[in-house]
Amino acid sequence: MAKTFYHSPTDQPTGTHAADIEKLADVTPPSESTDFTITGINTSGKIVAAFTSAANEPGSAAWPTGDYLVELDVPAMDSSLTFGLLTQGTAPGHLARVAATLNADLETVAQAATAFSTPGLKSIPFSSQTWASGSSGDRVEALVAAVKVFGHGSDSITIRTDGDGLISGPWSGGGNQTTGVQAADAEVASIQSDNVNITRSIVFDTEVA
Amino acid sequence: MRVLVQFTAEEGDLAPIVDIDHEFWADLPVVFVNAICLQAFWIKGFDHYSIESENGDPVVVAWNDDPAQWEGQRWGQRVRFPPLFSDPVFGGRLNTRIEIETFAEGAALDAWAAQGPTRPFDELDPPSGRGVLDGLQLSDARFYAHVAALPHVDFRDWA
Repeated sequence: MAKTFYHSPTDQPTGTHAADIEKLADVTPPSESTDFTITGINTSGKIVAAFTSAANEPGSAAWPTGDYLVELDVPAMDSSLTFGLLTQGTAPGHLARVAATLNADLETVAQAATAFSTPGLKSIPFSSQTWASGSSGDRVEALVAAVKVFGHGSDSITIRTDGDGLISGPWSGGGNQTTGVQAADAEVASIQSDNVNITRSIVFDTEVA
Repeated sequence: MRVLVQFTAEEGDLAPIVDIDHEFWADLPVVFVNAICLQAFWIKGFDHYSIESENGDPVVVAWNDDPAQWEGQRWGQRVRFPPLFSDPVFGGRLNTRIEIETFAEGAALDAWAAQGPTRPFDELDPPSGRGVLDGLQLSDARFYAHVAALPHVDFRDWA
């Protein structure tokens, strides 16, 4: 069994990090897609997005050892950027177990692969991942960082919240349980076939200096 | 394949975005370019741009070599854009398979090599001639006025 949390457009402020967009990782996929364009990414790096599960999700004190997965939907970006769930410049990126109060990372793991450098759908596996024991109130967080690799000024990246952006893991109990990401994909495909894929564009942080 | 091209307007009104097929790149007027976009991948602010075809796929080469700004730290990118494909990893949904190579020297090489494989700038072998259009150094304010005028795009627009 697995549980999947979809990147949603619903605000989920976190005190753990200051990300340009801080959104809920929801147990149900959003019924429409929303694009968030994050600007002002310079060579220092920036935490562009934090997706965090709701209170009492995934609802497990002992996160199982197993295969975890984060997927990102990046509709557009500038060619001078790299991004991912790993530190970019001085900006941290990772998959994390965070405190219920969203004021501390309890355990973090960065993606094994090098940073991404092109737009598209991105799959970030965390294979045979082990976690320390914790509290059933702990939440899961996907933190996305980006950096302008070289040169002056700043660049931008767009992140879409829809059924293609998700966090999945072998948790059990409560919430949205599936038999894996394939089941989640089938659910998303069903929604998309219903033509509810309405995109809204929201531009955040117009500071470009 | 579609290419969005933003020409540089040093002053006054910005030019509208031009939407062409990459096969007609060399037919564009010889004017300054600020940005180009294929599959929602914006390549902007470079000193030079070229687009050629390789087995039908557009291949963009963009590079910075203006000695006033990039002395000892020239860098560029060679980017190939195969068509979008049905990605089995994502249940058959459309995805990109953009192939990017970065070439750099000096501090630029240090920065790019920290992010992934990077080749020496001298191996870029940039094209020359009619298919190369130049960028133009702008003030930050003017450059970002251009950036603000770029349209919202999605790689799936290239399906």
